[in-house]
Amino acid sequence: MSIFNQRFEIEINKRKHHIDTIMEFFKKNLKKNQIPLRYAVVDVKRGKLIVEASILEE
Amino acid sequence: MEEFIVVQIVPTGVGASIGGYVGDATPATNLIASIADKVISHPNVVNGVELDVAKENVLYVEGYTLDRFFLREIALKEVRANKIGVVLDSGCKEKKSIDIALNTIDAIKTVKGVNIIGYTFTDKPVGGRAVKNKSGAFVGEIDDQNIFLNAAKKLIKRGANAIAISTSIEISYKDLKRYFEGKGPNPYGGTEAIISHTISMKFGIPSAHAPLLTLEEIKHEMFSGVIDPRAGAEAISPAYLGCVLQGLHKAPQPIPIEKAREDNIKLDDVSAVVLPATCLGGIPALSAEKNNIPIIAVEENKTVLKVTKEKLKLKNVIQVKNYLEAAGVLACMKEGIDYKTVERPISALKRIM
Repeated sequence: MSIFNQRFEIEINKRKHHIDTIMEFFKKNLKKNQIPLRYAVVDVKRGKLIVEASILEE
Repeated sequence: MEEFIVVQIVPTGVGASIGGYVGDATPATNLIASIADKVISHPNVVNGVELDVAKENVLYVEGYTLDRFFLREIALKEVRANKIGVVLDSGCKEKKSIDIALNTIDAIKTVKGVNIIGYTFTDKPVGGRAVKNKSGAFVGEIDDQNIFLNAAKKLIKRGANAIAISTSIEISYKDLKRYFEGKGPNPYGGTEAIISHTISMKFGIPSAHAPLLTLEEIKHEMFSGVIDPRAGAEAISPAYLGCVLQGLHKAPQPIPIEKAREDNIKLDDVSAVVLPATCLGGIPALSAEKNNIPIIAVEENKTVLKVTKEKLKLKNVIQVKNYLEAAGVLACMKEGIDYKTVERPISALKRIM
């Protein structure tokens, strides 16, 4: 039971909106008891969205 | 004619030159509110320690709730008044600090007529601490969110439908000094955000956080000489709960989208989103792009980030120099005037084949 911070690199999908790419990434890569509480793209590098997120783990 | 609704956002913890201090984005927000029928904004934009001087048509919506609104998960229901419960951090052992908090609650209740059902202490110290991310933005860490969630639950069981929470946050005085000198982001903001986000997420009600300062911190804030004017409100009062209670007084209630009524505010009702031009990577901006809602990106509001429309290849962004220009664009939008016809040079008519 904690809130921690993590940085992710998410491949940009040119056929999708960034918001959908990020949501799908979280659905696929976070555990069932992990909720992305607060997150945003903080940079874009080499075709990837750099996302910093505060994750709540229940 | 449907209402002209604008969302005004200044993310917390990113050192925004306008809105990254205490309530210093309020004049720009009130300017927008003088044009729009309603402005949806969030605590960081208008919280000014004991000052909340946002216009009445500025709706106070916590950040997590705002994200859910942009994800079409909730609508917003305007209220006449909320019943507020206050959570205080038992980690603050200084009676004088607690006395200031309790006197602040009483002052807002007595002078503004806000319905505050009562307060409770957490069973253990919350222990929030500020952390600087690689991007330069301040975020927070919490070891056990149940400490403050249990306290909030107690108040909700007694009838609270909005929660104000005040906790002690561990920060470095070096970061605080840089902030007061106007050289760095507010170190408290990111931790405050995740605490209120957690309450909003868990209980689906309005919430907002105010720092609970030790006497040492109060001394640093109030007796550091004349500081950056944008942080001026912090140097005149430690009554941080003041603005939060005023904001929560009429904060709209989130309604699950499947239960939303016609008179509730939904994402499709939003005409524009105003943001700092280097901060376009959050849910509101990305959702606005997906839903074809114009983003007005303000260049003058610089942050520690560089997430621009060019980097994200966003197409629906109107770049403006400052909030004065943003106001002009919004006035055009409200009146149905193409803002490009007000500028020079004016582009020639295009033939479409």
